[in-house]
Amino acid sequence: MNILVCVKAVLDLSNVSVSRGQGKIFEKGKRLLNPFDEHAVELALQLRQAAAGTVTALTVGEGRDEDALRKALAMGVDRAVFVKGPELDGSDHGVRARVIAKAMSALVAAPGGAPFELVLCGERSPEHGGGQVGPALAEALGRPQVYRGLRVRLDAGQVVAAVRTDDGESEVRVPLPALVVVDAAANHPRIPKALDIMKAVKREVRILACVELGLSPEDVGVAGSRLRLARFEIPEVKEDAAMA
Amino acid sequence: MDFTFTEEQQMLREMVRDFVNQEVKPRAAQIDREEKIPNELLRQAAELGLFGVSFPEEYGGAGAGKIGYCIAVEELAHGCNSLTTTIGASQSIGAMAIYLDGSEEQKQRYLVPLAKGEKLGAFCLSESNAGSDPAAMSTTAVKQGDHYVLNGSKNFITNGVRADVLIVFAITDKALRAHGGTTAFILEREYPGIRVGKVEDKMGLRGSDTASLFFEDVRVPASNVLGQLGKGFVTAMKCLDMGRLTLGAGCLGMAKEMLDLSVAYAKERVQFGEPIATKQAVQFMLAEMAMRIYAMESLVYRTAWAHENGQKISRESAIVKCFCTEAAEKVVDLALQIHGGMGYMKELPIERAYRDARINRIFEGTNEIQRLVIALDVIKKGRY
Ligand SMILES: Cc1cc2nc3c(=O)[nH]c(=O)nc-3n(C[C@H](O)[C@H](O)[C@H](O)COP(=O)(O)OP(=O)(O)OC[C@H]3O[C@@H](n4cnc5c(N)ncnc54)[C@H](O)[C@@H]3O)c2cc1C
Repeated sequence: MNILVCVKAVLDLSNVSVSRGQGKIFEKGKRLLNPFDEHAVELALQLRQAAAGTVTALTVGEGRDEDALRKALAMGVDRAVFVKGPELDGSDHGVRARVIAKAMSALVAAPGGAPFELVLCGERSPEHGGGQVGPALAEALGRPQVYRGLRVRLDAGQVVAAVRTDDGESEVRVPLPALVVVDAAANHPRIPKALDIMKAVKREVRILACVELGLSPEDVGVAGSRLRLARFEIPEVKEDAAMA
Repeated sequence: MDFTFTEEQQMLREMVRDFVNQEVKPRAAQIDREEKIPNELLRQAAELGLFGVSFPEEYGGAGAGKIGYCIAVEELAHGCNSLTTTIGASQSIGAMAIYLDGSEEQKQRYLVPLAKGEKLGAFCLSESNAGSDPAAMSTTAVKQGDHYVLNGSKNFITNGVRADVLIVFAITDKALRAHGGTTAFILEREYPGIRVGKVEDKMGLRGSDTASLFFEDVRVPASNVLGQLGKGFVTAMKCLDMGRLTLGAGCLGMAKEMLDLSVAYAKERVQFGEPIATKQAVQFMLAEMAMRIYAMESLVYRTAWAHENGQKISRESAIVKCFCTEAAEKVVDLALQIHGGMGYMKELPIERAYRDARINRIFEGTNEIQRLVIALDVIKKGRY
């Protein structure tokens, strides 16, 4: 059983400075593994223990996003893959999902590659909060999707999961291969051990470039995206704001 | 010069911070009240590798070095000084003695389980008549065949109740005493003749146990002599260099926590129609705190770096200990002042920090003794 966990690096908001004038956020330390994705990593590690297999963490982004993979490695994933390139900057969820799907094909086709029966994604990221990459990836892969899985197990070639619904929970079963968007209440992500952190920093991260995936610059980034960022504005901090 | 923390150091900080926020802070008041750290919490800390951060992997540690260890202690002290002290006494001075001067066999037998947190260590130097002047100790060790027989007592020993492995300093040559007549021994708790005496009822650090220990004809195998016979004082002083440095790191973490709480409170607490953070008197207190924290941080990590790079840090660690313990005490006091009456209440962690902070000027060598060390070094050198 091979599991792919899609992870994202997010800003460490406790360690940034914000310039309203320049409309920029300056990072002072490393990036963090998206806390929502930690639940997906945790589930992957638990499922690996139950059904012998491997867990691969994958991220799409630029240079410093590797920090998210280091955290996933420290938590215990077997492999880390970084689809990396400055041209990816500004990609919307649709592009990201297509890039991940292409990367999966490349990994499966590579020597020693094996299919990923299960793909796990976090619910959303705290930055844009769209929560679109998971569903878009299921679509790109043509796989059934379990949305906001709470308690997830594997049973005779099927994913059996309690999922969150608008008015509570329900149980779903889908055949493998499948994709699960993991709910933030699914588990309590493990804290990595000191020694595993020291080792994670030295472990290999497999880098994939867009060209290797057969993607040209027009396919990705702002050029390939259907969603356009019109304006980025940092609101003024006001003292008299009230939450209704 | 490069003051940036490496990626693993930043990850280590994040890890300990997560542990402290999730597991330690919610229990800190209870630990103080019930005077006991839950075994489960110690087990969790052990599992994360917090008992052996600085030791190499082959000895059960994480291999994060002195800087990594200071980071871990700093973050732990954000949550609970009793836990920090329990881990610190076991690691910085207990296990450290074995790491620095132990034989390979002793390291495998004792350091590995200590670094993994499977066993807890204690460092037994002080006696009731030998505090600032440990050379005045009266515990003796007399050789009988392939054993040493220890007699005497130790006072105010951190982890004295819980520790499994005791590093005990005893006189092996009454004529030489501190100058070649004191030896360090590794004792196992199960050795017959070891008895726990008074368990102290303390002002602060109430979750960290402090007790006296009695040794009556305790037979210690000669193979458990730690380091060279007669060189125990050298071992003790080397351990205290590390202990004083990490005590500074603990003070730094506690002080940062106090500032964080104070800033949040000052922005939120409204008097005379506006947050007290708008009052210059309060702002100046915050500035005093921040200045001290910056100085503490600079001292701690510069000294940890020097130690990591093989420099001798006896004077520097005395400076770190002396400065940071006094700065932290001042910071806690200012935090309490900013919180007004609320700061005095057990409901907030400031009252506990205020009690916890006071011991720092006393243990690991009083600040008067640190000043002596610093001054004698300056006088000997004849310049800075
Ligand atoms: C909570 C706690 C935990 C401890 N844990 C440990 C432990 O794990 N292991 C261990 O071995 N010990 C431990 N100690 C003992 C601690 O190290 C001693 O308390 C400390 O060294 C001071 O010794 P003392 O209490 O005997 O004070 P004293 O030495 O009697 O000092 C009394 C006062 O006289 C001053 N003074 C003494 N000599 C001089 C001098 N030459 N010049 C100027 N002033 C001087 C001191 O600075 C102090 O102000 C612990 C103590 C406490 C309270």
